[in-house]
Amino acid sequence: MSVEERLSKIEKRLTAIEKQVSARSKPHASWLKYWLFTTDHKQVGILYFVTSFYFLFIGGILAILMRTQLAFPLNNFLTGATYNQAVSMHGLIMVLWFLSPLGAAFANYFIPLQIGAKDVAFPRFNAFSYWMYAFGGLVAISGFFVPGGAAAAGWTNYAPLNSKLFLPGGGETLIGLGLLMLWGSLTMGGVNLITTILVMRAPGMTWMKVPPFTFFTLVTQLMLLWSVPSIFSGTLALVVDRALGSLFFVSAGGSSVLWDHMWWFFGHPEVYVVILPGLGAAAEIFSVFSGRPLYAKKAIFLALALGMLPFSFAIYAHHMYLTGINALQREFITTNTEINTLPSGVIVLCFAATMIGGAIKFKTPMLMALGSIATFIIGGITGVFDSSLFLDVQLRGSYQVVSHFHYIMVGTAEFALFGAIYYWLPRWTGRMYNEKVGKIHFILSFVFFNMIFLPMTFLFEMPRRIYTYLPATGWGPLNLIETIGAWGFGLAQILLLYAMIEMATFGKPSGPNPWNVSSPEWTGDAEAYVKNYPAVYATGSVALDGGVHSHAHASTPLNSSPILISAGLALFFAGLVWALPISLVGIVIAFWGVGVWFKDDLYGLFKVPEEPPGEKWPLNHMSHVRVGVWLTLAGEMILFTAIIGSYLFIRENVPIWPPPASIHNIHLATFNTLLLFSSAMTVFMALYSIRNGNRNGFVGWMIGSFALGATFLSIKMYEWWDLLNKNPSFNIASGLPGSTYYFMTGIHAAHILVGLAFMVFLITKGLKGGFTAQNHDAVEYFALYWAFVDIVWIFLFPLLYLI
Amino acid sequence: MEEEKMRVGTMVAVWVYVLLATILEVVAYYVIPLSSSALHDSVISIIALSSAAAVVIFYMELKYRPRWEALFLGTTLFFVLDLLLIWTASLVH
Repeated sequence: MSVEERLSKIEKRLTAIEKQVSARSKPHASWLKYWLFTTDHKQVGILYFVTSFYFLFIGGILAILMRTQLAFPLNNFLTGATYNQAVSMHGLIMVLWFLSPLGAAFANYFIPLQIGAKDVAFPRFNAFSYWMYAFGGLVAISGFFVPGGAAAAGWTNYAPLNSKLFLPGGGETLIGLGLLMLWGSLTMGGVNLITTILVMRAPGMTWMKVPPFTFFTLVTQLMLLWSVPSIFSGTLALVVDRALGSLFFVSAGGSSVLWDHMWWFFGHPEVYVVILPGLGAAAEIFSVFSGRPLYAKKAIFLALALGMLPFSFAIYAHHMYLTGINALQREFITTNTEINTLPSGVIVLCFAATMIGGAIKFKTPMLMALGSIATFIIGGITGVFDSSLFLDVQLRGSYQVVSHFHYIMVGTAEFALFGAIYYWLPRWTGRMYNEKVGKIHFILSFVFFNMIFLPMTFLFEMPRRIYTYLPATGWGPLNLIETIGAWGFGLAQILLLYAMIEMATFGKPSGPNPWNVSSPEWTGDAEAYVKNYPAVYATGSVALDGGVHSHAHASTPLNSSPILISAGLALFFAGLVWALPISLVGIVIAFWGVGVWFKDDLYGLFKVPEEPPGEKWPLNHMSHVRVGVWLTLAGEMILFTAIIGSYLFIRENVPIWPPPASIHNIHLATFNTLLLFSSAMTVFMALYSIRNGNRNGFVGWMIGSFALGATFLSIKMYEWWDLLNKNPSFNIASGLPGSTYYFMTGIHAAHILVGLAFMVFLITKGLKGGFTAQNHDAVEYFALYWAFVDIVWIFLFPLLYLI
Repeated sequence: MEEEKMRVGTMVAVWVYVLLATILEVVAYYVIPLSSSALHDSVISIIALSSAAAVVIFYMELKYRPRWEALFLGTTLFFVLDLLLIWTASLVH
């Protein structure tokens, strides 16, 4: 082929690629295609918003069913089994599929606007995160339609109730699989939002100028990043327990205490994850409707970052006082829990100080924010009692605790987020709500909410996990009041629905900035906001630009891979319980999605708008992709720490453990380890080659790395096969030594497999000349990942084979 | 610029160190009896920690990059230690 012919071929190929890129960037694709394939942060935010209300509807109906059952003593409205399903799914759906995602909806929509970024850092991962959340929820809910019904072990899925022994139906497995998808979604969403806030702020948007909602969301997402991996590994172990018969939570060595650790290391920070986005919105609302800047913003930010964030992880075991944990540890945790009321106190006092002396306007958003703080204070005070080790022994498992956490997680979070809806929806839709309807909605919600949960506070003798009770207990009247309150609270939300429909369709035009705020999500002008700081929120202090939003024209391309992979995974998971052919279809769809993703990256078909340089201290030298990779590795660190922590917990708890040499071929494992560690060196050599522009060297070293990695994996599989053949009593279901060995090496092997897939991609792209000395970021990031996978094995090898 | 500081020789030395450390762990396994579990476990753990540190510093290039890049690792280590301490101490009576 002549040079001209080759050039002509390349030109044709480039023209075809340009056409494909252009087609994917078209903003006016068909309506359905647009919503299914969108990667734009605003549309993804709207998708989160609508979907979270779908889950609210389901969770709300379940709450009404439960309360109706408890209205009278010896009521037969629900059976015990149905009640257990209703209470479990209500908790899981409301906390994980409604409250957290509603905060994520606002975060997705407004954070890029608030900090002056064109979009989030990783738009495709953002869409992926949404679809994993939505499909994960469907997998979880599908449990209602399998024999045995939905999950019924409470929202905490306590062990051993979550085991097949007590819940043999498919519902508990489906909630596990649905949760796995959700944990994936939360991790991706967290990495995305944290990266966006850390390194994509507009010039001049220094930390103290960041709007409160953005900062509260940053802390929220950091909590998720560090907490989710613990329960991810716990849920995975639960699914393996149920599907393959391992013994993590059904043996004395693993036990319910291990599950408690894995759950509450996530579950306690999750409380803050639920309330902080709402409080962030409330911070903005207090400031706007008091006409004053937020009081002591620095103190609030410090209380969040240095108080709530680390303390939420240090005190989680106060949920485990009665599990027999170490006495000194319990005292330490009691003290820390009580100290942790200080950052909450700082935040509440600063909110109050913001309002003092302000020209307060009691509009619906302000009323909702005030309702949120009022319930936060009530919930906080009842929580002080629960934090005491001595009182907790008495109150644990009673309705007093149910009241406490509903004041915090429902009252605080929901009222604040409702306030955010009234405050921010006009920005989305350009239409206003009816103030009278909004105020009636607030009054009814507040009255009925307290009608449910205030009487509950005094039911400290009623156990929380019973589906009926005797008339002689005297609990009937208060339960009846609560049930009337629950129906009232549920029906009051029709007014919220009306207000949202009004704002979306027939409401009066709101104008570009109905609250006359200077915050950049309203003005579209981050520079003006930064320039006029700290006069922000003093309404009318900044000349507004008539609602010209600089981001309105920034558009990320449509992409089908996020929905394909998520739908494929959902079908795969659901099929494991429903029917295996569904799983096969799911695998095909998921691989199709992965193929689309890789192809897009290979040919550069997915291009996002370039982000101009901005404020990113202290990470000035880091690209947003590098930050994202490090954050992912931080999550991975916690994942493997949780897995290794579980192993150490089990080893400590099991008095007799077989000596490694009696089971494993240590020489083979050592040889295999040397192979893997050698691959770290060859990956580095590949990186070194491409940094110096040596393309052939890069491809050669990368092929060598692939060979080493693949050999490691093959020997690992041989080890499994050999163990199962020569020592059939050492399998995943034979005891904790087998369960832990196959589980830990299996997860590590999955990471190797992912690494090998990436290597195939890098080699293919390298062969096509896709990397140069100046452009090889993907290789840099892969080298980080591969080094991390090696480090994990540095710990797993001695733990499993030598100690 | 950071890349210029990195030498292939250094990376090869780290590679050799990690391989030798692995072999040393195995030797320790055979030499120190399992019955002296505290010594046995401590020696192997210390060698493993030193290998991991070498990979983080050199292959993950923290030595050659601005200090703030260690922020992610440093902050996460707090939660790693928190988790390990609470989980393993909870059964000690």
